[in-house]
Amino acid sequence: MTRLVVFFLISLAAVTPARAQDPSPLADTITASSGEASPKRPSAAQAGPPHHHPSSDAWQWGVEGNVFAGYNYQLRKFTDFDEVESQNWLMTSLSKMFTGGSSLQINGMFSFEPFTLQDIGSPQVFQTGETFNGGPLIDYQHPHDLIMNLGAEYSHGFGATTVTIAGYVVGPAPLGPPVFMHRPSASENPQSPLSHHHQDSTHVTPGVVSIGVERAGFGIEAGAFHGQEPDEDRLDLDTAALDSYSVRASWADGPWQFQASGGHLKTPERKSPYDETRLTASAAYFKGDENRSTAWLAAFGQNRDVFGNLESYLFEAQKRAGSNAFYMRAETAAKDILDAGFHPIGIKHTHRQSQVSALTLGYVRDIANRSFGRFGIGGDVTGYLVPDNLEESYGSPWSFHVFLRYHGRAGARLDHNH
Amino acid sequence: MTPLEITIDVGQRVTFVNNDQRAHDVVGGIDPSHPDCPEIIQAGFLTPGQSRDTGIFTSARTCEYHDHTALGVPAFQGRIIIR
Repeated sequence: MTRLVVFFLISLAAVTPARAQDPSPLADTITASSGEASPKRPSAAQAGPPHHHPSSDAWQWGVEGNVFAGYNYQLRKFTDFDEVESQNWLMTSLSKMFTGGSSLQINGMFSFEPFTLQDIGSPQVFQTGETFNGGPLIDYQHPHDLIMNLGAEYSHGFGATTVTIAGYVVGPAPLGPPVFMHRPSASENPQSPLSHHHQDSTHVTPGVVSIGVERAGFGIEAGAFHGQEPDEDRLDLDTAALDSYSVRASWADGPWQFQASGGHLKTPERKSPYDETRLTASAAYFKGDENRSTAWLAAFGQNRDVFGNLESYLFEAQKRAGSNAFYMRAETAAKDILDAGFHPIGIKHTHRQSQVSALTLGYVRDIANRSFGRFGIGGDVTGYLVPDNLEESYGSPWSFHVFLRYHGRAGARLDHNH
Repeated sequence: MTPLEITIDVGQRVTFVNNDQRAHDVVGGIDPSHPDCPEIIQAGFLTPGQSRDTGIFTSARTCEYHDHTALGVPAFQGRIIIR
């Protein structure tokens, strides 16, 4: 528990100073979790680290933090699990608009989960993806890397068309819907989706270069990146060859965002020597402001490899009314839990699939709204539909979370002329 | 796995109990390229706290086994000697 308290203090220290220079016009330009599309921003930015959009010729900085700290109880058939833990992320940006319609944005995104979750991750029944001690993670959500994003984007307008080029040491590949951490439909939910590794897991990709073109809300992006998932060292920067590629088409109009994308991932799973094709599509809606809003997202994802095709479908929604926020997530995902594990080259067989489904209902009540952020207390419950081939091992599991939530954002111009 | 080696008589089974905090998958053979002793795979996939028996071993021999979720890890490779 001590480590969680310490972490809270670190987060507040990081965000608080910005307000010393506020009120600032930047407060309105930071859209980190709103999901709103900027009319002059290429679609490439919408699914990446959102941060803020440059709106003046002065350098601007922005930070946004989200912290969940609480109790996770997993009711299982044979052994229950419980854990005091924290999911958290901090987004930072530095940006500037140049004369002639160009802008530069330097992004960083960080997580302290390597220190606030167990090394094996957060207990979450049916969650899969990445490895621990060389074996596939099953029933755990891995901690995210300390450095989740680090890179820059440069945009230039040609009339009504904007071209953006991006380069990240670690960053988001142009593949999939906006990652759950940036979705207004999931901002109060501490859990990762079970379909995370079918849809939006490439938000932390070691090495990304991409180009995007946007005009009148329509966007097309293409990128090259390293396809393998991050390694088990959560504190290092993984660097490797750009051996994978993806393309994403998107359309944003008012509160609506749509995307369809596909990518070829070179040996994405460290436990398997085989490549994967990922196809995704999503529709998202957000309308409102910080005090009253409605957001939802529907997404599809499919992973295709030599062992078969694994599909997932997700619908999540969030409704905020003043100090009250309600959220839900319903999803179904095909998992190869029964055949997870390393497969040497030459060992090919169709994996047994298990179609797991989950429904989460949650509520958060704000208990303090300060200039440096909003504090809330919340909880959720998740029930599962267990396929026949997992019934003997899993029975009828349930998950419960009770947590404190902190959300803060800040930003300022760096000039002194105002 | 404890013990890594066990000796039993023909006609007996072995019970695998998962006392770890994560799932394991017990498979016969030294690795996936050399499947062997199909009685072992009946123990198969085990979540934490779960236990399951192998099939009955009907002939005297030595059976290697491995954990499919931890390939190449000596602590998760074992042997059943049937006499």
